[in-house]
Amino acid sequence: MSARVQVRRLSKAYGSRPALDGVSLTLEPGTTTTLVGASGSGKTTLLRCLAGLLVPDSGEILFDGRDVAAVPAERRGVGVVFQSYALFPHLTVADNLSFGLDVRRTSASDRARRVAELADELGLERLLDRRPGEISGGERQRVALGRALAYRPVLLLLDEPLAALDPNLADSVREALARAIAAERTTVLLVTHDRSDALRLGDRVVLLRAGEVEQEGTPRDLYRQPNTEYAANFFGTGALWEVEARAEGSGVVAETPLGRVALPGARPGRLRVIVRPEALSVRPSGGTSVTVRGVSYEGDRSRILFTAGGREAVVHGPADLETAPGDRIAVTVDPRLLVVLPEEKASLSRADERSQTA
Amino acid sequence: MTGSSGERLRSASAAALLLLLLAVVAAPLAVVVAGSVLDPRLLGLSSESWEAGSRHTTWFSYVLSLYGRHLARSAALALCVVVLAFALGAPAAYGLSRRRDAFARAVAVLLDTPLAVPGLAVAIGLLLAYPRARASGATLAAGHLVYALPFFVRAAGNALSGGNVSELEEAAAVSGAGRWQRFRRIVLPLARPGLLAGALMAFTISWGEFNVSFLLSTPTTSTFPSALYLTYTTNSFPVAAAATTLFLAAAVPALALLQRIASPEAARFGEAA
Amino acid sequence: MTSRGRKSAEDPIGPSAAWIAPAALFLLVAFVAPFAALLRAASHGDPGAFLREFGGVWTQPHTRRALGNGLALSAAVSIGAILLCLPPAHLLARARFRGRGAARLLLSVPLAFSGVIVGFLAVVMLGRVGFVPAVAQALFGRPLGAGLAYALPGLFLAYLFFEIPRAVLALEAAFARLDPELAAAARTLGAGPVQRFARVTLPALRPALLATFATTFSVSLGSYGAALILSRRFSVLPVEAYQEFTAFGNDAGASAMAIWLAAISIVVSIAARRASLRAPEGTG
Repeated sequence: MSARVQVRRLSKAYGSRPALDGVSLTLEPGTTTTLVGASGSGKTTLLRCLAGLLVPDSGEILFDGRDVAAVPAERRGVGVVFQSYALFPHLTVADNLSFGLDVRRTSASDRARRVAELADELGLERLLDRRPGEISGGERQRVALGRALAYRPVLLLLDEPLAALDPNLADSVREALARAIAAERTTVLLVTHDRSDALRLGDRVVLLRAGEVEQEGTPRDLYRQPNTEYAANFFGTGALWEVEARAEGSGVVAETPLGRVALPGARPGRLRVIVRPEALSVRPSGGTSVTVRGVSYEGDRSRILFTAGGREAVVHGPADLETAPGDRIAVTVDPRLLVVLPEEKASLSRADERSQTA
Repeated sequence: MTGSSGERLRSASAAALLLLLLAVVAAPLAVVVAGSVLDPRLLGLSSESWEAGSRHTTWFSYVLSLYGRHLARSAALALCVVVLAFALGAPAAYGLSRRRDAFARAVAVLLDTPLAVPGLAVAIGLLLAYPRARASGATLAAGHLVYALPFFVRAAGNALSGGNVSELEEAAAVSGAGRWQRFRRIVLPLARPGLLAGALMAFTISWGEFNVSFLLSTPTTSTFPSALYLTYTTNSFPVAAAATTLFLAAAVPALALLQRIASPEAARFGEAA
Repeated sequence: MTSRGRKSAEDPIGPSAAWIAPAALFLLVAFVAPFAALLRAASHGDPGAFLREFGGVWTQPHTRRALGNGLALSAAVSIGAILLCLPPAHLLARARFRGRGAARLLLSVPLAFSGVIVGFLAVVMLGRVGFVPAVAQALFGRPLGAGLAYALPGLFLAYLFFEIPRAVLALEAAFARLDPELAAAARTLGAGPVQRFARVTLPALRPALLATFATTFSVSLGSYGAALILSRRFSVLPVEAYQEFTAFGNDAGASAMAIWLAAISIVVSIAARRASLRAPEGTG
């Protein structure tokens, strides 16, 4: 049932403003891909093109090798969970769930069976006679998901499915979502602006930036081996340090403000390294002595901004760490968690986009 | 303290003015309705009272014997106008609520233009353009519809342009609903209050229409408002009062229902009636 | 129903122009074509003749007087209705009281009336043997207001009656759309009640006031039922047009008068819309 979806050089502009600029990507059958990017990066435009709700200017979309340009939205067999859920207010939960089967003239018994199955899967049994106006936000989200899954779509598109929920509710809904997606084994594309949702929910992650694919890969790839400073900063903020690396013995060693660090796999020369907080730790003794510049208390930990050798970085320390600006603390670095950026074309680092992800 | 007492004075005078308006509207209606059942001499009206005769026990049955056909024709015409307003207006409201192209904008303007054109002008124009259609009543229906359609489209369109109808339609489309299914299962149900309001407006407009009808109707197509004119000019007060009461008996419930389902729509009725 | 190629790229599932077409076609047949027929009849296919007929409405004393009567009456009635209905409309929009729905319903009843009914009601109340004179006779021994219906004040009152629902409902809606915070903000800035009304409420209401004026003016100008019933000496242009057309078979003259009426109403509507577009954005 699930389709292999290929997007080739897809472009779409609103007036003179390009929203998608030659995007290519492949969604393998039965996998979940998260499409992540800052607002205005073209995520929703791509989703609407896939659903048939927007006609691209150029490029093609293939479902199992078949071009769907001429297939209208109602015959693509795509399920969409809208950001606002777009539940039909005049229909009950049960009628919302069975809408897609109803318009396909599925028999009443098959409809009833599928609705019961979905209601069980999504915990909606007691809500079937209610209308969307009479249920909670989390329940609406599950109904929207059920409605999109009911006719066993070849591709399921989710547009910011968790954005409208309050953070406490989002956690439980996220798990239910992951369970339901796994149970249905369809091809899924989930649009989100939330970096941790993108990493948690996707088998693969596609990062969009200003209408172009910045990087795609497994969540681990994108987090651990970002190709660009933009990608690195999108998934986890860290300080960018330029360091000098030399070949030494069988490996490569860099001089950093936190001492000499071995960088396996890196090339000698001038390197750009992203230093994320989790690569660093505060030690009672040993390590490099650094100067505290600022401390903020975050409940379960404290966040410490420090300088070492004229460079700034952030390290997380224990919540009860008693320290103040001007103090000196000892910090160690875990070289495996440092991110070494490949050489980047200068044109890619545009200040305006960096600020969007800051 | 002066501010609040000044305020009280202002709202008291507004209330007094409201009561005056209510009295101005209610008094003639009360006199007419009372006049249709009471001896007019009790109201100090019309001394030359007319004898009802043995066949007619009330003024109403006398009016019905004289103008029953007009009444039936008016009811049929009003229903016809409602059906046509729905058939033309519901799709148009749907199209106009979503399209922003030059054609849609032009139609929207054209739709509102009759509201600024006197019924007499439309009636003379229809007679001159289609002289032979008069006998069938087709021009009469067309003249009513020209004035009913803008209200119907506006009421239905208001229901469709608010909220997220286009997104709901998208949700229906990706779920597999084709154009007609989307219209029938999503657009029409969501527009229902507006459609009902529009239908009531179309009915009320047609039911009371005189400016167009008086000129367009023939003796075989003339409507109840024309009959009212006849009763006012040829019959005595109790007959005219009974006829007017019959007119009110359909108009007031329609207005009351309109108010109940959609007071904002009713307000717009006033804005451009 | 639609050709796929013409669908909008921004809204591929939206309705095509075909959904609007039936209504557009109807308006073409039942409104545009008749209007063209009016122009044709007034001109006999000759622009010079059209100008003669059209100008004749103004140069002939009796039609000019009828037009002037209608314009003056309509303007006076519209302004009167708006002034009379402003405070009650504000009350209906803002105050919560029992019977508000019933009051609004009662005020909306004349919407369904034709001018003829209004004329009849005027006769019933203020005719020579009307209800008001009868009551006055009983109370004061004099038939106050007898025959007033047939004089100019009676016509004015009848038209006013006709316009009350239009004015009160439209103004109520305008007040309801008005952001009450606006006046509250003006109050915190030290504006008194008169200043608040003149400098905050009135500018915000301007579009609605203009639109209401245009509507009531057009309706009054084109209505002839009340004049038909009430007035023998005091004629208005629609009545003249009606008589030219039916009694004298003067298609050209009647058409010219109808075009005058339509043109004035359309110009007033457009002018009102233009003026209200220039009004400041007052509502939230």
